[in-house]
Order: sequence, then structure tokens, then C-alpha cells
Amino acid sequence: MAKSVMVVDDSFMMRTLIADIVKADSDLSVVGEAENGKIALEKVGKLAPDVILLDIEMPEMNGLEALKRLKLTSKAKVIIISSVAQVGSAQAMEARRLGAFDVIAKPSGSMSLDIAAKKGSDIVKSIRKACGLPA
Amino acid sequence: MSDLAETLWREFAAETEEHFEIIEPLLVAAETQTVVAADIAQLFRSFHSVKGLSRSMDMKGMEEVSHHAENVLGLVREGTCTLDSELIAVLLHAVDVLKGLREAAVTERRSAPVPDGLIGTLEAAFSARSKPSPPTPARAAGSEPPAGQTMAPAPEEPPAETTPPLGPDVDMLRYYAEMVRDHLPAIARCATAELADPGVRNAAVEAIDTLLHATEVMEFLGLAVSLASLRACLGQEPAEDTKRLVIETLGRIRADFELIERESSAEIAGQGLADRLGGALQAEVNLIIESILDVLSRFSADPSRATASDEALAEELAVLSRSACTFFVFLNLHQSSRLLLMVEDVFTRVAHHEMHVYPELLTLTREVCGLLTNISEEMGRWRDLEPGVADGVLDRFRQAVLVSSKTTEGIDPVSALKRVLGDYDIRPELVEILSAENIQELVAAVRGGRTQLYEISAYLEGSEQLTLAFVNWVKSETTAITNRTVFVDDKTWFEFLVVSELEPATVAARIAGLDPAGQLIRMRSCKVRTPPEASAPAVAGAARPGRSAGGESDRPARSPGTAGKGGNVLRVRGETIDQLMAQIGEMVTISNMMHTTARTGATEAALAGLRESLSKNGNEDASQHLQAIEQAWSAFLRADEQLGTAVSHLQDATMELRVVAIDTLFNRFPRVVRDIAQAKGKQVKLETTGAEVRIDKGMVDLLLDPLMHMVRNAVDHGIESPEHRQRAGKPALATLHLTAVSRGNRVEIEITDDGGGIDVERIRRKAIERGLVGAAEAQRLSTDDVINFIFAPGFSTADQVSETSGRGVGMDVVRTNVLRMGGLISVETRPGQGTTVLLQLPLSAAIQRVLMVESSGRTLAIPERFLSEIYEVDSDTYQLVRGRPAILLRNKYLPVFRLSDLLGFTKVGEQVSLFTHRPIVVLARGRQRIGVEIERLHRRQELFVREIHPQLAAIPGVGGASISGDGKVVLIVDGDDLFSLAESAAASGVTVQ
Repeated sequence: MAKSVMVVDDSFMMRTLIADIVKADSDLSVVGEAENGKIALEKVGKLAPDVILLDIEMPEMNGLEALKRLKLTSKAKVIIISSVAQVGSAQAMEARRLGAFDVIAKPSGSMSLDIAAKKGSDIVKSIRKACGLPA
Repeated sequence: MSDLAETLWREFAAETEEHFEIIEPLLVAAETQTVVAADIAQLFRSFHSVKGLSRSMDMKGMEEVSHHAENVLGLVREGTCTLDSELIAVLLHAVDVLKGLREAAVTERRSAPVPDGLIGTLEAAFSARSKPSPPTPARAAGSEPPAGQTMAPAPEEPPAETTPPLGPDVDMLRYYAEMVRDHLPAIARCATAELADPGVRNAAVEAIDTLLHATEVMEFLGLAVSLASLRACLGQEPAEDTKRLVIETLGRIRADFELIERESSAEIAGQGLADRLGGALQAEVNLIIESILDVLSRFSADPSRATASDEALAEELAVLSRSACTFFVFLNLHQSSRLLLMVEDVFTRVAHHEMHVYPELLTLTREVCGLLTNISEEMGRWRDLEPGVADGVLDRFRQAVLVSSKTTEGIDPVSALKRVLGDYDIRPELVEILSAENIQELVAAVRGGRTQLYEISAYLEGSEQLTLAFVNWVKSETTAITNRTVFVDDKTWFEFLVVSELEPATVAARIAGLDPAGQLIRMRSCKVRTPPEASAPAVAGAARPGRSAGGESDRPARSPGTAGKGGNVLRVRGETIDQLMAQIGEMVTISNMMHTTARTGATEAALAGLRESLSKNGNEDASQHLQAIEQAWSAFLRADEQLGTAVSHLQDATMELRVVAIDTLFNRFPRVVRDIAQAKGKQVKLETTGAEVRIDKGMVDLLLDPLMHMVRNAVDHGIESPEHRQRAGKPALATLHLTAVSRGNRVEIEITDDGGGIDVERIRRKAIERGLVGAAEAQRLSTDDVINFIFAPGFSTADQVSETSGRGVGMDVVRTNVLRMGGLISVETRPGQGTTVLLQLPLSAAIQRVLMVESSGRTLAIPERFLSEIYEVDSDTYQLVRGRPAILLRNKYLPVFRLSDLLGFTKVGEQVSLFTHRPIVVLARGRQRIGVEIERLHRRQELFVREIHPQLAAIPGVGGASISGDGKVVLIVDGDDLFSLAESAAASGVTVQ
């Protein structure tokens, strides 16, 4: 059975793009989306995803705040996708400390439209690792 | 390009624009008003989002600009600097550049270069404001503010090398405590409730599972072990000693919580977990104590007349005491639990006929309740009784037991509550919380004829309006006996027990009126039990809407408020809606066609004729057929009516799809006003009202230019310089007010300034100068007439052409645009006090009301807004005025043209007898009037204006096209064009025979 993924980002475009990248891998499926941390918390119980892809900068409840709660309420692995959390930045460290499985950058233009690139993307790689799927 | 790419580009365009529309007004407002943290956070987020969006589409320039803007705002957000006016100016400039880059990105899908200097400016702004001291590595580790919201000032900056210490995060500890508070009641219930009830066990297991996961995440391993063993206890059918095990484990869990609290007390600021635990239980304990007091009050006064019902009460009391005792054991309050054990023991013996209900026992029990109520303090803290106090009470109990002896006498009738409960099916959970007063009230209400009992659950947190309406209704038509809160799906629901005279159907209707979607209020009638069911508690259990395990379908649905907030917003392309509108327009047309067929009377006439000839010829067979046709015809007529209604509803609903809040338009003005005011050295405050008024999306674009022009005008010409204003005794800060008001199917937009007003004399002079009016006539014109000259083509009063206005393409263009939308424009000016321009607009530009006419064999539509009146005149009414046919109308000559001539439809050499008893439509534009002669008048109707074929659009005087009821193409006449055509026809001397 495909591993289930939930995408949390306040931009519809980002959600569309990220969901599309995830869907490019047949082992993964997107079970739900949320526009901010608050909605993610409301949805996570019912959706019970294996992996949550979480943006940091969002209105209502930001990613780090949501992460703290999601870690307590859900068994999902949380991967932070944010351009704020550049590798090694204070926010990235904070996210790892709070139990984020991985911290990766948002997709950039070269990848957005290329299926082959999607499959090999950091996002898919990271999700596969989180689910224990072969690389 | 793939569909996905198209989608992404479209969303990129839409989302970046949305962010600019958020950023700009916020920045402009920040110049004059104090900014709150939420605004700064919003600004930061918007720039940040633009950056992310740009990055994903590989728009490097936009990414770079927004990145730097975000960096500076990061400083503001963390409080290192303020959003000063210099910074605002820099950021506004950045927005301008971003808009330009976005334009290139969206139209050409390429990343345009960033203009020189901007990045440098942004960087300079950043370094000038960032703290000069080097970042301390220690800051990144432990002492960072809780939410971790501080922004790494610059990405280049080396990250802190030390790995932050693991262990409980302050926020996480708080959330954990919240979770504990939320889930503990369900677990604690195991100590008191009947474990045989799988509902209780399941709820507890569910709560433990949730808490166990969180506990493991928090690495509270000891507690995790205790929770796991409690879960194991509850996972199987309860055995003899399960209860004891459960309570024991609960005690361990409590101790674990205390330990955690001690370990982390500094971080949760003295509000310990054990306190939370105590707090969570406090309400339950108090409830039990209240119930004990209540039961006590119902014992018959005379112990010598004790009966079976007293024994039942004693049983109840024993159970309650046991429940309370478990809580006190759990809370480690040993002296208190000793007292309760005694109470339980005593009343168990009463229930087993071993003892009388001696008054002293009741008094002592009351005293115990009093003592126990006093030991719980605020904030959930408890302080156990002094051992001496407990010993004293226990001694007196023992004394009392000694003097109690058993007799068998009858006592009072069963309590009023029991009677009510026997008659109605009220959930025990709700009954549990009834106080003595509640019960009296309930009994009184039932006796008073309010015989219907209802349980109503409502989710009221979403809407104040609903809350108010609901509470008012409950007050007016019911008596509320009690209420309590329950948590369902993390939402706080109120459960009410009310009595009323209203029948269930009426109550259901009232609720449907309050909550049409049926999502927020649920009702259950506690109908009178029928005797056989009275002893079958399963019936009551099955109908529970609350937290029982099986009642999933009865659970209140999730609040649509949260789900609908953004979650269900569907972004639909404008074209899709336009296509839908076109299809619906088609349907409107077809429906009109059907209606025409239905209402001409031709069919009725034919049927009547047929009937008559059949009656003469006496053909029985044919008569029957005719009857069938007549029936089918009336069915058709009915269907036609219904179709008409349905189509118009559909049309309304689709129109709704096209409308957006007018603030999408208003939001563009703060920036414009600021820029012009700054350029002109004026002080202007822009106020907007009615931003929530909705207008057709298409009209937002059409209105932007006219409004922009008028706002510029107002700031540039209308509003005086601060010095001038002060001399005139007005505040230096001028006010420009944009107001939108919805009036039925029209929208009014008002632009009001408190400037100097329009100089009427100057306009009069200019009008004479430009030869628009003779000098003599000009003096006779009223103020309104003079002001109307500002709408004349090429009219400008500005003595000097300025960058912002006065280029002579002013108000006439504005008016043309407004009229094209089917709107009206008017100006009102008050000398020295200001000017108001009022626009009256239809809700949609796509549907127009027209008058259908016929001219040289063509069906044409004249928009109703140009219609003034309709005449039918004889040929001898005409006179020639300056070589042009005209009629005398109210002492003024009205020039009359033939419509087909104006539109150039009259073929050369075609001879039509003119001006003979033909209808004349009088068209009005402002104060201008012309008569247009047509061949035949049809009807007024609504037409859906379609996109017009370029060849048709090229015909002067044609403004659009549609399909008429009988399927013919109808050209929609452009009234403005018609006036121009009439003017040139008159000027060129083309006259009609």
C-alpha cells in the first residue's frame, strides 16, 4: 500500500506543486492538504498520514508551533519544507531538535516541471527514507 | 506546455498579486498608523511567500528582491529596528520592482533583470538596521524565545555550532499539559464508572493511546510504563480485582505526573502538571459532593418512617461516596478518603437494612461534604485534612452508628426527580449534573404543562450571531433546566436540557431556522417512555448523541466554519465562469423562446379553431386526440413557468460566482493617494467604507481606471495645500472617502473629498472659451449644467498640464467607461467644503435590460439606461429645424433620426416612407436628447451580452450582440455611439428626405 502524505503549506500553488512531486512516486499518495498548522492539527487525526510535509511560514499557526503539537498528537514523520529553514540555520536546528525527521528546501524552478527530476527530488528521497522505503 | 505548468503559472500570477495587494496597503497604512506585530508578521510572510513562489518558477530576480525585503522585515519582526518611513519607501519601491518583474514573468515567462541599485539599497537598509554586535552563539541554543520565531538575520551567517540540548521544550511541555488536561477525565472515569461498560473502557483506552504517544515523545518513560500497564488492564474484560488495579495504577500515574512536575516546574512557571490533574478532577469531585448533598436532602425527615425508597437513596449515596473516595485516593488525600470510606460503609449498611437513617448520620455526612469542599483551592491545588480533624469526625460517626437501630416503617413517596425520570428518557449523563434547584424547576415546569423535554446540543463558538439567536430562542420558547459542555472532536459543544410546550416538529423547525445547514445545533426529544421500554436502558443508550462509542452518526458534524475557512475555497478561472455564464445566457435565451411560443396565443387560437371545426364535423376520434393535445399544452405552459423560475434562480446563482468584495479594488488606492499627496505636498487621509460590498469581477477591471482618475483628480485638484486649508480654518489633513453601498441589484460608489469644491465660474469661462456654449447662454446655465461640462470631451480646467491629472482625457473618458458598464455618474460640489462623485452601477456588466425594437427588418436592442421616453407621432408633427426633421417636445425641438440611417443599415437608393406614424424612442445622455425613429416596438427584456464578433464590433453604433427569444441575432445599440453618430450626421448636413 502506498505511504500516505499530507501537505501543509499556505500557498495553493506550493501545495499543488509539492503534491505533484509526491505523486510522481507510485509508492506515495497524497491523502490531504492543509493551509496552516491549525488546520493541519484538525485534519491529522482523521487522515493519519505516514508523513507530513510542513512549511514553516504560515498564518494562524506557523510550522514550528504546529510541529510541537503534531509530534505529540500524531505518529507521522514530519519533514519540514521551507526556504526559511536552510540547512544549518537556527530554524532548521530548532526543527530537528523538535523532532522533525528532515529539513529540506522548497522545490526550485528547474524541478517544478520535469517528471524525472521530481522522482529524484529531495522531497521524494526524504519521504522514502522516512517511510523506510528503498532509496 | 503541460496542464500542470499552466496551473502553476496561473496560480503563481494569482498568488503573487494577492500578496502585493496585501503588502501595499499595509505599508502605506504603516506610514500614518502604528503597526501591530501581526501586520509585520503578515508583511514578512507575504514577502517570504513571494520569494518561495518565485523560486519554484525559477524567477531569480523576484526571488532575490523578495529575499532581501524579507530579510529587512525579519529585523523589524524580531524588534531590532522599527518600520520607519525610510524603510517603508524602500519596501514600496521593492514592491514596484517586483510588480514589474512579475508582469514580465507572467506574460513572457522569463525572469527580467532587477533594476540597478535596488538590491544595494535593500542591503544597505538591512546592514544599517541590524545590530552591530556579533551574534552570540549561546543565543541560538537555550535562551531563544519560546516560539523559535526569530529569524536568522542573514543566510550567510554561520549557524550556531553547538547542538541544542534535547529534552522538553517549553511549548511542548505546555501542549503536553493541555493534552493531559483534555484526556485525563476519560481516564479518571475508570476509577469511578462501571468498568463493565465497554464505552467507558474504550474511551479511556483511546485517551491513553493518545497520551501514551505524546508521553513517549516527551520521553517521560516512567509515566509511559504506567500508562501502558493501565491500558493493558483496561484492554480485557474486567475481572474481580480490575478496579483495584486500575486505581492503583492511576495512583502511580499521579505520582509520575508529580515527578514530572517537579522536574520541569521551573519551565512551566509553577503551574504544575499535578495541579492540572487536580484541576481536571476538581469539577468532578465537586459534582459528586453536590450529588451527595442532594441525595441527603431527599431522605425523609422522620427516621422512624424509613421505607424502601430511603434504602435506594442510601445505595445511591454509597456509590457516590465510593466514586469520590477513588478520586481522593488518586489525589493522595488520605485523611479525606478515610472519611468517605466511612460514609460509604455506613450507607451500604443502611441500604442492606442493617441500619436506620438516623438524622445524626445525615448531619455528619453533610459535615464531611463541607470539609471536602473546602480542601480544594483555586488553581486546582488540594490540601488534605489534618489527621486530627478526620479522626474527630470518624469518632462521631462510630457513635452515631451505635445508636442507630433497625426499624421497618413506611416513608415518603418517591422523589419528584425519580418520577420525572421514569416518565422521560433523559440521558443519565445529563441528569447527573442536575442540582436540587434544577430538579425543582424541572418538576415545576412539567407540572405547569411544559411537558416536552428536549436535549439540545449546540456548537456556538463559531458565530456570535448564532449564539445570540439561539440563546434568545431558548429563553423565549423554552425553560432551560441545565446545561453543560462536552468536547466532541476538540470542539466545545453545549448540551442543554430544556422543557417546552412546543411539539418536536416545531422545535425541529425552529432549529432549522437558526441553523439551516443542520451542522451546529442538534436536538433530541426526550419522549415519554413506553412502559415496556422503561427497563431497557439500551434504548436510551443507542440514541445518545454524545460520546458513547456507537453514536458516530449522531455526533455533531465538524464545524463548517473551520473547514470552510480557506479549506474549501475553490479557485476557478475567470474564463470558466464566463463560459458558464454564456451557457446560462443560452439557456435564458431558449427559455425566452419557449416563453414566447407559450404566450403568443397562436397555439390557443389554433386549438380553438380545431375544436370548433371538429364540433361541426363531429369526429369523435379526432376530438379525443385534440383533448390530449390540449392537456399536453397546458402541461407545457406549466413547465414553461417553472423553467422560467429555475433559470432565473440559476442565473442569480451564477452571478454570485462572478462577484468579489470591492476591497480588491479599494486596496489599490492607499498607495496611489499616498504617492500623489507626497508629490503634491498635500496631506491626505484615505478612508474606505463598504469594502465588503460585492461587485462583478469583470467590473473591478473596468472601474479601476475611472476610479483611479477621480481619486487622482480629488487629491490633485480638489484637495488644497495644508497651508491653504489651515487658512480656511480646516484641518491640514484632508480626508478622501471611498464608499461603496449595495442597493438591491445596483452598487453605488462615492468618492468624497473635503477639499475646495469645483470652481463653477472657472468651468463656465472654460466652456465659453472652448466654444461649448455661447457666452450669453452660459450665464443662464444652472450650476449643475455648468458642472456637467467637465464630462465634455477634451474639457480640462487645469491651467497647467500636470503629471497626475489635467491631460484633458479626463472625466469624459471616465463617464464613457461608466456608461458602458450600464452605470450613471453624477457630481455634487459644495464650495469650500468638497466634492462628491457618485457612481451608480449595475451588479453585473454582462446582463443588460434592453428595449427590443425593429428597424429596417432587423431586431435591435436599446439599453434601457439610455431610454427617456417613447412617442408615437403623426407625420405632420414633424418640422424641419436647420434642415433636420424635429418634433416639438415640451417647447424644445428634439432632432429625430432614423435608427437604420444612423447605423448605416439603409441601403443606398432604398426608399422608405419616412416619419409616418412611427414610434420614436427618445434617448438621453446627460442633458442631451435625441429622437430615434424605429419601425416597431417590441418588448423590454434582459439580454445576456455576448462577446461580439470583431466585424460586428467594427460597426459604429453597435455595442454588443445577443440572441433574442426567437433565436435571431440581436445587435445591442451603443447609446453613446449613437449620440456621436447623430452629431456627425447633423454636422455633415446629411438630412433625411
